[in-house]
Amino acid sequence: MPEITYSTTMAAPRATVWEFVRDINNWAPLTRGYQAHEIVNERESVWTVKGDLGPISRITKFHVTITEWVEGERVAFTVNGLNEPINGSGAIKIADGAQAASTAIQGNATIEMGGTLGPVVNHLIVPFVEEGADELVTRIIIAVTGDETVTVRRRNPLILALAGIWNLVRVSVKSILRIFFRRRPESSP
Amino acid sequence: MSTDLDRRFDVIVAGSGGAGLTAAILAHDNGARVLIIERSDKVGGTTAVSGGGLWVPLNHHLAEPDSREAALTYCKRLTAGRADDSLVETFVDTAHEMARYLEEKTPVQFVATSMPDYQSELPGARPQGGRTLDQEFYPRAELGEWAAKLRPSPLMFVPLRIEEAMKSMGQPRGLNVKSIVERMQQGLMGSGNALVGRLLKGCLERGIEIELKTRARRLVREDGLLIGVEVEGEGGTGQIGARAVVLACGGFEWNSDLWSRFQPGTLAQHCSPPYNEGDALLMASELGADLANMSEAWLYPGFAIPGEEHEDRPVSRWVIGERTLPHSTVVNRFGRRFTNEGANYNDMAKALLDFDPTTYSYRNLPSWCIMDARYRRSYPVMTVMPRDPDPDWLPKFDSLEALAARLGIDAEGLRSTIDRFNRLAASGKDDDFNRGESAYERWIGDPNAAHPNLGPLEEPPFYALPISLAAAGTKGGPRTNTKGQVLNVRGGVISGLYAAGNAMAGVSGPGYYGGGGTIGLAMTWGYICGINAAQEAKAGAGTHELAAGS
Repeated sequence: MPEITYSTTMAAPRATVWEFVRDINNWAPLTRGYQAHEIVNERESVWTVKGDLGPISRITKFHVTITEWVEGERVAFTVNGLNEPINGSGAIKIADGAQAASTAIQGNATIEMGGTLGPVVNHLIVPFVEEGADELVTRIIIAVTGDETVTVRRRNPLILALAGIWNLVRVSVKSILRIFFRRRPESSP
Repeated sequence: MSTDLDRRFDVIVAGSGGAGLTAAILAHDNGARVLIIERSDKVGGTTAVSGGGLWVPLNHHLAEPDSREAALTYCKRLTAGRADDSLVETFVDTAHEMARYLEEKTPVQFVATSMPDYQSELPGARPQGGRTLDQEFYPRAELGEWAAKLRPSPLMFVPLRIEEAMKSMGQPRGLNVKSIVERMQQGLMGSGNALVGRLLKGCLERGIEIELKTRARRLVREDGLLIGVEVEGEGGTGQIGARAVVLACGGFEWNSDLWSRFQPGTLAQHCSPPYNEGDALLMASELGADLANMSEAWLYPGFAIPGEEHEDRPVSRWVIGERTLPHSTVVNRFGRRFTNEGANYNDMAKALLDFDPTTYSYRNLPSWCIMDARYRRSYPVMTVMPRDPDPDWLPKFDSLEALAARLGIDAEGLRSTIDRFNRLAASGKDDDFNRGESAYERWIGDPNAAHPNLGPLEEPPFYALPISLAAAGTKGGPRTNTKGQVLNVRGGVISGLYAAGNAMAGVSGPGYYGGGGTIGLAMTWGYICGINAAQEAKAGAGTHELAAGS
């Protein structure tokens, strides 16, 4: 069963990140293979995504239901395929980052094809799900921070931890550079 | 790209499918310096996207002996006089030699099957099977950096044996999903990818050069001698010298202009790579090649799942089980059955092209495969297994009348057809079209049903799958002799020019001998062309050097 775990830090205040993430309309189009989405109500939406199944792609419709909503902190959801026997769930948690004006994001999701051939299909969709998650997180960070140099990749837990440290260093260096470049004009004659 | 003949090879093979790779291996093994040029960025041609089987009479994997006489009788009957007997005889005499050679000298490794010949009741056929050879799974990692350059198949991308794939239609519960997943985890390839992977490895081991994204555009001659090929690549056009050229770059099914000139009906779907645009046909024609079998193609009834794509093009799936298993039938817009639905896909699809002189249209296009609830809960529909939810692309109806009204089918005709079909199905004998009477159909059928291929359509909901005319390739092109040499319109040989696979005039005429009938012929002619091209290159070396001004 494809399973994704994420942990990353964004160089933006938590309130800004939440403001962006809380509205599905902001980030749904950033999803890999996005075709359309429709908000049914506050908790439910229907997504149409063109996903890869090995060398072929298929249009899949999902019903997404928000199962938990803790304002500014956590969102949990379930995913149910409308035209394919696919189900999943996940959660996104955000918190203040270690650095000022940064946000730590943790996410996890599992997705599983049902049906007789489910185990075969699950094997085939792993690259799409994993690369799609990288792409989505990267695009959200770019959309929130405006930093187009960001590229996010999932890693195993050890590399994930190292990546988290690297992100902290990166955010720190950027903050310092920002301060440095902001002060330069003041010091010039 | 250079514009002179500064690069010279003994033999250039245009195309990298089963025919081309086999030709290259044999040309190399017969002493030639060989270059393979491939128009696309991937190796494998139509073979790579296929099931990867080879129809090889008298092959060394047969459990019971085959006979040359039987094979010839069968092949000639299906070829129907559309190719010279000498070519059919050469095929029967050489195919098994080719299979043995490749197995002994390359990584190619065949697996015996029990698949009966497609016209299993005709004289000389083998209803007990054995002439169709499958390919052993192959680890993708064996190809190193070339693994990424192997053409993926939009249909056969899960490692399955031919027998597993075919038998899973009638016995879906027999499919061992766990074992398929294990193969995937081991990085094993099956079907056409395994066959091409093994042939490609054979080429790489020999140091045969392969140039991708290099399209053969024109054959270059000087003083009546073939001296090379004009090619088009990323860097522009250029010429590469060769003493012999093997055209193995596919048919013309993706060239709508050529299709409309030579083939009946409008081709709605393809499953082959889109590069099969008749390059070989045009190049050979320019040199005065004689053409034959131009109105024939490897046809099949196809269905494209809406929204399913490969490289931004619709994926055309083969409708096989849906028309062969119990509780289904195929009708036209008059609501009438018109053929044995369970016949092999090539011959069944020919029935789609029944021309009605009164309405001046193809009577059986469009057609629909109609199934009932018993079918749906017993057998797969395309990729959807019995217990999976109904997909939105498969319309279902509470009654046959509602189905007819929605799809524009004559309701009275449909009702009367289904009533009669149900009576025939209940009796276990299709007096109208003999469905389910051949060993081939029964081999695919459900052995646990009252009749492996027949069952009434009684239980709603009823499902309707539209069927389109589709082709895996064309079978027409330059005529060749028994050495694979292309013949001109006067019957003479065009010196230095060879053709194999779907690029040549098909040896099977309108027929399809059995599973792997396409690739068995293609690789046999690749084998023949490779040997003879190498010999001609060696024999004509002096003459060619002179003609090329060296």
